[in-house]
Amino acid sequence: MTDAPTATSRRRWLRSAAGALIFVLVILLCLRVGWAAVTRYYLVNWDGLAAVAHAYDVLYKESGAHLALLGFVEPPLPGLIATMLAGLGRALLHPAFVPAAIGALLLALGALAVRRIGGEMGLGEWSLLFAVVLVLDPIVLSYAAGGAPAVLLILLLLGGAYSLSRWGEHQRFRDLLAVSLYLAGALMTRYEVMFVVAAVAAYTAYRSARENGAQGAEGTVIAFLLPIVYVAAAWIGVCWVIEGDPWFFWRNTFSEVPFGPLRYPLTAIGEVLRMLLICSPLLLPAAYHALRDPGLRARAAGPLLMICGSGAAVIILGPLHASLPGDAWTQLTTLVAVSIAAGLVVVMMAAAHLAQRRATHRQRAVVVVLAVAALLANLWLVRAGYGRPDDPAAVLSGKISFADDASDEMLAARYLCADLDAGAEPVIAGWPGFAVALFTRQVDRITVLPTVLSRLEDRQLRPGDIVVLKERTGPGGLARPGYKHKWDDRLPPSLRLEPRWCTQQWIGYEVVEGDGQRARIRPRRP
Amino acid sequence: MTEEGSPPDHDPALRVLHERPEECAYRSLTRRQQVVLAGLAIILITALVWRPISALVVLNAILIVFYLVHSTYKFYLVWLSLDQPLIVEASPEEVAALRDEDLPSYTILVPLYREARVLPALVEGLARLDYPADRMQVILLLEEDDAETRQACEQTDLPANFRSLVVPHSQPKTKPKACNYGLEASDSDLIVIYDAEDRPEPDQLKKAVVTFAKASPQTACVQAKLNYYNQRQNLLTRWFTAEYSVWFDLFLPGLTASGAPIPLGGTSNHFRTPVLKELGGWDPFNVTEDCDLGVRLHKHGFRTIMTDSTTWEEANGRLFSWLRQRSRWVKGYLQTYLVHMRHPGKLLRQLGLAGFFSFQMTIGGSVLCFVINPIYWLLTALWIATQAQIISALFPPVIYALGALCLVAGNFVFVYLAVAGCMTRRYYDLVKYAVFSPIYWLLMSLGAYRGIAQLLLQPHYWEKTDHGFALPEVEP
Repeated sequence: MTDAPTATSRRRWLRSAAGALIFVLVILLCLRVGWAAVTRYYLVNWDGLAAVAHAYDVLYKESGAHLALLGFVEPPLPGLIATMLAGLGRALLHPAFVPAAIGALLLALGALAVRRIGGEMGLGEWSLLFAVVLVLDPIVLSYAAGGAPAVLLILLLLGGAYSLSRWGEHQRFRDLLAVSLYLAGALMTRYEVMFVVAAVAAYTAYRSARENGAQGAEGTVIAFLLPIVYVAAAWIGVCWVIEGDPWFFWRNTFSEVPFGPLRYPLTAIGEVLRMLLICSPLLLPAAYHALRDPGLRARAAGPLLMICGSGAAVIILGPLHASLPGDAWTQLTTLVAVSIAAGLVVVMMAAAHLAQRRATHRQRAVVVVLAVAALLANLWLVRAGYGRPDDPAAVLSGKISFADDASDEMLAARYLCADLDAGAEPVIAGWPGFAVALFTRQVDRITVLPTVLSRLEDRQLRPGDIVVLKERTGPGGLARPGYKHKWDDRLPPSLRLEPRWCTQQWIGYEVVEGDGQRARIRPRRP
Repeated sequence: MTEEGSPPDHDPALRVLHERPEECAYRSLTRRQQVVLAGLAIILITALVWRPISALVVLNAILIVFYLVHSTYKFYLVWLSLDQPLIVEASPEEVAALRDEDLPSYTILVPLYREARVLPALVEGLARLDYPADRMQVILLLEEDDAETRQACEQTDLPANFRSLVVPHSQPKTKPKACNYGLEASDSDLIVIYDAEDRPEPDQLKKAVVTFAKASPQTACVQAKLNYYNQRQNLLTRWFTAEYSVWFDLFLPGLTASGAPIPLGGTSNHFRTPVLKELGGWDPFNVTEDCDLGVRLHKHGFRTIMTDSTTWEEANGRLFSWLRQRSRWVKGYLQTYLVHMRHPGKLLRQLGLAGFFSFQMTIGGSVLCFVINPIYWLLTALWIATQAQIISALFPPVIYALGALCLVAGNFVFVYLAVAGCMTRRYYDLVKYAVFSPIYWLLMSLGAYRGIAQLLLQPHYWEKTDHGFALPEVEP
């Protein structure tokens, strides 16, 4: 009589132990890749580092926590999460490593989530395979090792897609609430998720109207949208209270972007399909299979509509994306994240269905053919140069994608440390000045201005102050004869800026009296 | 309905007073509680005089932390209920499988006071109950000074298993006292209370029997869900329905699952009669005797579970009457809190740490929330309007962050709980009204302040809720 409970509890213990092991292994892998990226290739994901920099401001710079320090340009959730975890940062070896630590934690949670989802779908230990697929996906691993907010987005969308699939099957309120909370978080990680929210709202309205009439649709949509709208409204309110402008976040995100007529719909559709084939090659055959089976269709429709909503955003915002800075991968981050997360849920669903031999022989044959075709298309895209930014082996060695070379900022920080040691309290103006400040590990003594001119003019500079400005000088820039910087004209007549050191893009100036002597320029690192 | 005069020495309805005076609300505060409260008041006043800002900051911090914990706890309990069904299911097959001869005997107590208007509907509703008449007796508890209802009762053709019992006119004049007379007159296995306007689902008694059979021996009470049949009568009844849906469909099942003491609903609680008699019945001096009894059951090692059956009641749709009812509930919750907190250490041992925490949050915490809500809203409004330094001074950075979290997240949690209640009950058309439930909270706070005032002035005064005002067209 006691064997059964013992076996059950042992199985449960083993499962928990396996989960803990997966968690630790994923974190170690991600940290190793992140460490190599920072120390070997000087690669940093600016968005991830920006969130950490804001968190450092909150934790170390001001005597009191102030929400304004989280930064209002980027969506706030990565900054809030970084604030909770950045306390570890001072114990880590390099500040640029903090985003990797956060990304590792999120990816490990993602792996556990996939394992659990697979278990609930009936995939058994095969769910581990899907967790491995997620973790070793070079796109996801690059996001995580760089600490990009996209890894948070993928985690939230994974939860959202799975909860929506459950709601589609049982229409339980708890699942609807879970979808709503996940998508509210995703919206606060990337504003373009609003298109996914719109698609899901339309889907819930349709399903609810079919079963509970117009009032059912009304109540369900309100219940679904309420947390999301509330979170968005709270964010707008925060912007209003602290920045004096409710639409501050919107203006700062899209102010430079011209909204024009829809000119490139075909290009956009092609781009969406390309991304789907690259990011989730088995999605299309899985979707085909799911939509053919009525029971499976009810579960898969929601996640598939999430992908459609994100794809529609690309098509609708075609001109917007085309004019945003960065490559297609940067512009289409939301689509990439949705297709990876929701795509994985649909693929796992179809795999579980096929594994349980619920499909006909013919249906399975069609799925296999489609899967082979999709994998061949994926291979062709990769070989033709339309595929992933970096190959998996390079990513594993630390040469992660979606990251930029930060060696110049690291060098500038080293120079600035000498000024700090001399007692200066510098001002850094220009993007990504926060990285320079962060790398000095003395953020509490440095003022960082995101923009250069307008605010620098407002500052009360005094002789002896150190000002670090972003100015592309090129190799040996300041040493070139006749070099004249452009800031003197903007200072009071009695002051001028004397260059003290320079890197490729950053120049450290000292504010001196009008008749001051020219300071010695330190040599650049070879 | 006044409280002058001392209670008689050997009234069987006053067993709690005579046998368990420590658990009776005859006196709201013991001497020791008075001393402790006076001491705390002196400390607070001294601190306010000596260091007013610091004292207010500390008080503010305590309240904000409490509010956060309370909101999180409520959300957790509701999430538990949403996660899995926590109510004991009694399936139609299980109910159908019951054989009449095996059923336990049942007593239904119906306390009536000035309820002549609803008597015919009540008799009709109870007669519809699916339970063998020879195993069920209905006792209508009439008050000696309520000639109108007694007359209506005499003129009504009552079924054979119905009988009336006249409760002698004495103090306190409360529903629990009447119920205690009914309990004394009952010798059945199970006993249940229904209010005059109640319409229990016909198979509720049998479901309760099935639930008792499935439950552990410690289970002494099965609570059915309560909800309203006149939910769409007006805005107040819509909000009231949303509140009840959260309470009985989500919150109480969550409490049950977490093993915490359950504040019973006023009606439709089915008891094992011997256990109830052992505990001395209801406290006649407590104006929420149901809540008090739920805690007492738990203290003495018994448990309450919920069954999947609903009793439909009439929502109070008239504002002043609703306020009177709410203030009685708040007063009763406070009475219950004070009675059981006479010996906090003993209570902690009896309830366990989790139960004790739940008691603080559910019984004392609910009232405190009603009290502090309007204060913080007022502070927020004043700060937005005036940016007054004195208000800023009360919120140093960490407290400001926590306070902002309370304001933004805490309030939303409670709004969404109302939405969740409506969705769980499939009252889809009420969801939009639930969104505006903060207005309803204001009314609840108003009722709370009134209840507190009454606790000080008329602790045992029972404010009668009038029934029979539901619009006919909205009844099910």
